Parts: sequence; structure tokens; C-alpha cells
Amino acid sequence: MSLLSDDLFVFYERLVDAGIVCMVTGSVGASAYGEPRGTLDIHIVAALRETDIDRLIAAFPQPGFYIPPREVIVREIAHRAGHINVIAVDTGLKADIYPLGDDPLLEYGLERATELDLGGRRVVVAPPSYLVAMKLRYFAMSQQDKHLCDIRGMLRLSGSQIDRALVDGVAAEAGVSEAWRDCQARAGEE
Amino acid sequence: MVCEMDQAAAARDQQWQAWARMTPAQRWALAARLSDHLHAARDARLRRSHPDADEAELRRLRVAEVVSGYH
Repeated sequence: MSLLSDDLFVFYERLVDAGIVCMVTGSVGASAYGEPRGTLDIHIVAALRETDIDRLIAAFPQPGFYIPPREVIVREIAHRAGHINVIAVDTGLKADIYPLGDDPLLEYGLERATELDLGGRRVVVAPPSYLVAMKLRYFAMSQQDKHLCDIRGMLRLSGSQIDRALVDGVAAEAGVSEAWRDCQARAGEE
Repeated sequence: MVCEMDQAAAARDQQWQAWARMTPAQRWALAARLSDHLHAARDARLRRSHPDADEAELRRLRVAEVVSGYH
């Protein structure tokens, strides 16, 4: 088994050990449900409240980890699209932790997340519909084709698990309905 | 040329069929191996560009890259 895989999941396991409800998203999820691709970071949605901050900071102690100062974490938790970077100093691997906030899409994902066996451990992973919808949002912000490529891969391998009506709504809201239609027409293409 | 394109498309289709037979865990295991290669390549590049750096300096350089969004 990959040593790096162990190192990436350390972030997730430390959050779980701290009693913080969370799920793995991003390219780890996209690789499980679509085309496998390499990554040097892990994206995690966490049901974080201000009362969790002490446990969050304690879960990633210095000097092994870099975690932002408390005031930054407070601000990011309060922000609708906030996120917190944590870096493992030895490996340079990174976790992007997204507080749940009041975004209905994140709530949808966390409610429907599934426990998978990844790398010899049980990991709660976001559902494919959430992963596709979120990647469309990222595409709307960045215009990076890698997000559409991940979506086409998930459509090809896990298409029956994707709630098209939900994704239609997210795509329309983000102004990327045409890109979403194109992904569906070209599932599995690079 | 057309023949080469057909072969590439056929190879790609075979690849998709292989991935479709895998479980999510098996697809992640493959992704994890690809990630190992990315990690090793980043390390090799840093060591080449900073041949005199010791392990502590390399750790600092890795973190600096991540913070700057380079990787």
C-alpha cells in the first residue's frame, strides 16, 4: 500500500479522533468514483463550530503541523465559503478543511456521505452527486478543465449514482449549465 | 494517422473498462500510487534545485511551496 496514502489520511483520522464529524471530498473522492489521479492534498468538509476550535488546533500540534492562527480559523468558520489549510511539515502534504457553514450543498453531501474502505481504513467519503456539483462550482470559479475531466470520469464510472436534478440546479446557479451538458454528452472523454 | 487514433481510442476504452471493474478502494489504491510518484517527483526537483539543502531546509522548502500554491 502507498505510504503517501497513509500520510494523506492522517489529516482525516486526526479530525475523527478529535470528535469532529467530517467527510473526504475532492480528488480523493473523485478517484474513488471516477478516473484515478494523483494528488498531494486532501479536501475535507468538517462540521466545525467555534466551540470545536480548541480541539481542531490540538489535533494538529506544532512543530509537526502548520495550522492557521485561532483568529483566522474563527473568521473562516464564520465565512460562508471559508476554508482552513493544514500542512504536515515533514511531508509537505496539505489538507484543505471546509467548514460546513450554512451551505445546503455541503449539508446534502454530509448527510449522504458513505463509509468506504480506502487504503485499508474506513473513510467517510462524499457522495458522487456532491463531488460532481462541487467540481462544477470550482470550474465556474477557476475555468480549469481538470474539474470537468474529473466529472466526465465520475459520469462514466458512477453515472447511475449521480442525482442529475440536483446537479442541474447547482450548475444553473453557478452559470455552468452548458459545461455540465457537455460533460454528460462526453462522459469518459479526456 | 487514423489507425493510430483508433488504437488510442481503443486503448482508452480498455482502460475505462478496467477501471469500471475495480472497486472504489482499488481505484483509490491506484490513485495513491500515482500520488506517490507526484510526491517523489516534487522531492527530486527540490533536491536538484537546492543541492546543498539539508533535511530541515527541504522541509521548509516543501511547506513554502505549498503555501505559495506552487505544487
